[in-house]
Formats: sequence, structure tokens, C-alpha cells
Amino acid sequence: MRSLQLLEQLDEARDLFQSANVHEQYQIEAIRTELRLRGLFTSKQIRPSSMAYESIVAVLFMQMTRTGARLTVPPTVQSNPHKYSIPTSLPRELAASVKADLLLLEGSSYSPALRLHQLVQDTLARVNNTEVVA
Amino acid sequence: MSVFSEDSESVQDSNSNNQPKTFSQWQQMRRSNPSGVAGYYSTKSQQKMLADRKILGSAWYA
Repeated sequence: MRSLQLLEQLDEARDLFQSANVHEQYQIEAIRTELRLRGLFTSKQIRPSSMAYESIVAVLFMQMTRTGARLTVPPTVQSNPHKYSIPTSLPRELAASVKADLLLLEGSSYSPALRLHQLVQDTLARVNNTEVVA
Repeated sequence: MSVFSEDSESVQDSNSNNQPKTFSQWQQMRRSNPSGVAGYYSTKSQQKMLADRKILGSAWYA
């Protein structure tokens, strides 16, 4: 199992989100919605910047299930994410994911739980079977 | 005299606004009307989309 640096993983997820084609955008939107349904992104006021952030987290989780990569968040980053150019709400999202049994926390590392694998697989299968009229 | 023309559509009367939309319909809206007060990315639309997903369950993706 690989262990990538958090910033690299976020950058990769951001790149994938920004270069997503139409079908990949559907996939991201579906995963983002399913994560919301499970208690992530609880901010009441939704802004365009938060939508991009939510999409990046959705891609990040999809990548974790594809590669099996862990997300290592040192305690110093957890407590002061803004100092490390990490979205300030990411620690809250990770905690919500652990609470929803989507991620497993071991020390400072988060790994995808079986429930996240199932969520991503089921959602992508549904989206791929959905005929979205352009 | 009404200030509205007879064929104007009330938001309250519109069936399409009251019935839950599917994932496909929401994605069409994302492409056709992404921004603005009633756009896909507005707080209200996002809350409605999540409510529709809860109402329709897995049929949301039909």
C-alpha cells in the first residue's frame, strides 16, 4: 500500500477534477452527493469555492479506493491546516468520514474502509448505467 | 388587471419544481443553468438535490 504526501494527493485530485471530461464530471457529482448524504460537507452556506473543494475531496476519495493509497495527516497539520496550504475544513471532513465508517484511522493515517470501496463502486456503476441527456 | 401574462408559469404551480428530479435531470440543469439564485450550484438547489436523492433512493440514478 502506498503512502503519498497529503499535498501531492490534493494537487493530483485538483488536477483530475479540473481536467475531468463530461462523463467524469457526472461521476464526481454523484460521489460528492453520496458523501453529502453521509454527513460530509455540512456547511450550510454553499459557495462556488466550497463546491470545488467538495469535488476535490470526492476525487481524492475515488483515488484512494483505486490506488489503495493512505492519507497521512500529521497532528501539526490537523491542528493548523491553513499553515500548510491544506483546506481548513479537511480535518473535519476526515473525522466525519471516520464516523461514517468510510475511512479507517490508524495513527495519523487514513485508509479507505470497505464501505468507501462499496460506495464508490456502486455509485460509479449506477452513473455508468444512467443515460444522461446532453 | 393582472401584472402577469396568462401563460406565465408560477413557481408554485409548476409540477417540474415539485416533483423530485433524477440524477440525470440534475446534471442537465448543471450544464444548462449552473449559476445564479436558482442555478444548480445555489444553496437551495443543492439542498433540493440532496432531498431528491433521499426521496428517490437508488431510483435517483434511473
